[in-house]
Order: sequence, then C-alpha cells, then structure tokens
Amino acid sequence: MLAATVAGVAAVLSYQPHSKPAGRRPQPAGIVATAPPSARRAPAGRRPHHHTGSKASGATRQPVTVIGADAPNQYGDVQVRVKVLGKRIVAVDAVTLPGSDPRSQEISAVAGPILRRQAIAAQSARVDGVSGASYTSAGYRQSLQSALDRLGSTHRPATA
Amino acid sequence: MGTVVSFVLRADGLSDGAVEEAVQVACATLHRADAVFSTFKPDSPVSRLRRGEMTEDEAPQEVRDVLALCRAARAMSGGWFDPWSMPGGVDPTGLVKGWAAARAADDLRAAGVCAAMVNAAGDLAAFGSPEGRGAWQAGIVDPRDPGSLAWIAEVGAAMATSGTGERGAHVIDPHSLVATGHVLSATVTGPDLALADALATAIAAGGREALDHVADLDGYEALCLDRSGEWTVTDGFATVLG
Repeated sequence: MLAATVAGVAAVLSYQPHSKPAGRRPQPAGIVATAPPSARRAPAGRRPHHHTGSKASGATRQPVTVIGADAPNQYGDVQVRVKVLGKRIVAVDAVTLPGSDPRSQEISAVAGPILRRQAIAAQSARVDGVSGASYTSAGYRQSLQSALDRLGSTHRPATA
Repeated sequence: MGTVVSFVLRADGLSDGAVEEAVQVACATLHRADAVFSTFKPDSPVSRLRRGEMTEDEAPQEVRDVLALCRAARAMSGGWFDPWSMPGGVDPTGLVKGWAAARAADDLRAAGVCAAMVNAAGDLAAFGSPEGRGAWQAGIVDPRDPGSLAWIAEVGAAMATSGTGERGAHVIDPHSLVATGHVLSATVTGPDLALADALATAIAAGGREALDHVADLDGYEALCLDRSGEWTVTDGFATVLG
C-alpha cells in the first residue's frame, strides 16, 4: 500500500535561502510541550519500585504521576504531566493551561486550538516538517505539511 | 492512490540547476521504488514475489536489501513487524516508504546538497541542519485532530509515524491478523528511516509491548498515543521533545 503511495509523486520543494537574515524570522512561538528536566524523572521517594528487568511482569509496574514545572508560552503557561512507569518508560499526558483541570477532555478542548494556531504559525514555531500517519494526495491538501509547504520562503510544485 | 513527497533543503553553494537536478534524481528513486515494491501493480517484482512467481534470490537487489531490513526489523520489534505473516504473501510495505525516502535523501546528499529533509507522507529523512539551528524540527500530528500538532521534536536522521489517521485502522496485528485500533499513532526516531518506519508500524500493531522492544534498542526512541488518550514515550524521546 505505502509503496503505491509513491505513485504520481509530486515534489514540493522549499528552499531555505541562506541569504535570509536570521533576525527576520519571527520568534519561536514557544515551547509546545516540554517535560522539564525535573519532571523527566520521578523523585526517588515517589517511585514505587525500581524497574530492573527489561521484561518485568506488567502487573508489578505502578505508574507514578509527576507534575512538571510550568514552561512559559506566549499563549500562557504550559504544563506537562509526566508519568514514570518503571525505569524507562515515561507517559506524558499532553498539555494543559493554567486554571484548567488537567483532564484529557479539556486538554483536547483547550490545547487543540492553541496548537492549531501554533501550527498555522509553524514557520515561526520553527517546524520544518510534519510527521503523522500516511496521507493520500487528496489528504495532503488538507494536511499541515501542505500548509507548511505553502509557507516555504520559495516553493514551487514540480512533477518528476 | 498517490501521495506527496515534500523536500526542504539548503541549497548553499549550488546553482538552481544543480538543485533541480538533485531533486529529479531523488524523485526518480521514489518512482523506481514504487515500480519495484508496489503491491497494487500486478507486474511489480514484489507482486510477482507474493504470487510465488519469483524467489527472493531471483528478485532485484533492492528487494533483497529491503527484505533483509524487514528481517532485522522483525527481530528488533519482537515479531510485531512481520511482513511474512501478512495475508497475500510477503508485504514489505510497512518499511518501504521510509526506505525510499531515505534513499531520496541519500541522492540529495550525494548531489552536494548540504542539508535537507524529505517528507514522504509523514515519514521524515533528514541530514545536515537548517540555517542557524542545530537540528531539523518536526511537528507530530495529533491523530484525534489532524489539524493540530501534539508535539514538536527534533528529527535527527529519521522520524516515522504510523497509525490510524486518514485511512482508518489499517495496521494488522501479525499474531491475530486482525486490524488493531488500540494505538492511534506511533512515532519512532532513529538513525535509519526504513527501520524507524517498520518499528512505528510494529508499535501501531503491538502498543506498549512493542514499544518496550523499541525502548531496548540503541538509538531508537518512540512515542505513542493509545485510544484512552494516554501518550507513552521512551525516556530518550523526552530529550528530543521541545
């Protein structure tokens, strides 16, 4: 299936002209979601046990929730909830805004539009590309990558 | 069904003509990959292999290369990526798009392009870095709302995402042979986009169990979103988010 998706490939080429002064780029929109270093590890006292074996029984793993420090963002402070599961696996619960209940429904309702605005300003957020599940040619036209390609400093469709 | 491959590149020191030519070569590589690996074209070598009309030893070199990568990915993923258990015969599709994008990026590098990122429908192959910054950065789409980004992360050499998305549940569990839907999206970064693509497919099928295998691999990191709305990342991935 995916090999077939290369059929009829249309190359969208975005140059990065090196003559463009760096200072002309808008400032980054801010951190979208970052687990601050302090949040990447559960405090030792809150870790239920040390995960030693690489394939320990799942039943013995107890997730720990750690609330990360706020990271300033132009839309308000962004907070990340990090779960540490065993020694290595970390679950991150997306972003919330100050004053909102960190439930996933609110995350979707609140963070979604903000992230979308950030995506529209993807150039200023310094996103060079978008990774997501495969899209078709038709889907590409609605994709964030398509919006990003249109934002390219110079671009032109070229069919090989 | 076609798709679009986007190239973003730094053309420092190259003429417009040289850039044009480099991109043409990269596009030819993508078209050749399609001709060889398409499971929709009945006469493609992979279609003939699937029907048993050609043995692996008789297949073109790139098919043998890709199948060798498939074997590596099967072992690396604990069997969660398994082209040999797909209905209709061996199907390397879950690795080929990443493999082709990486070859296209290699073409650009060989032509003298100093930095580029090739985006094959969400699978990214990169080298060098953008002007004034140390790393290419990608937004990872929130599959529940494909118009928004869930994360921004450094790409390194490769980033692949697999999951439901536009085409719905299409990832098949190699053990039960049914389409899975537990994982909405799985993203893998690492040194090789072909393997990252396969490992993302593995996590889309196997969830945390497959992600545990990826967490054990040197150089590869993963992130996935399950149906309950919980993101799970390997702790190395946390260092590239930001």
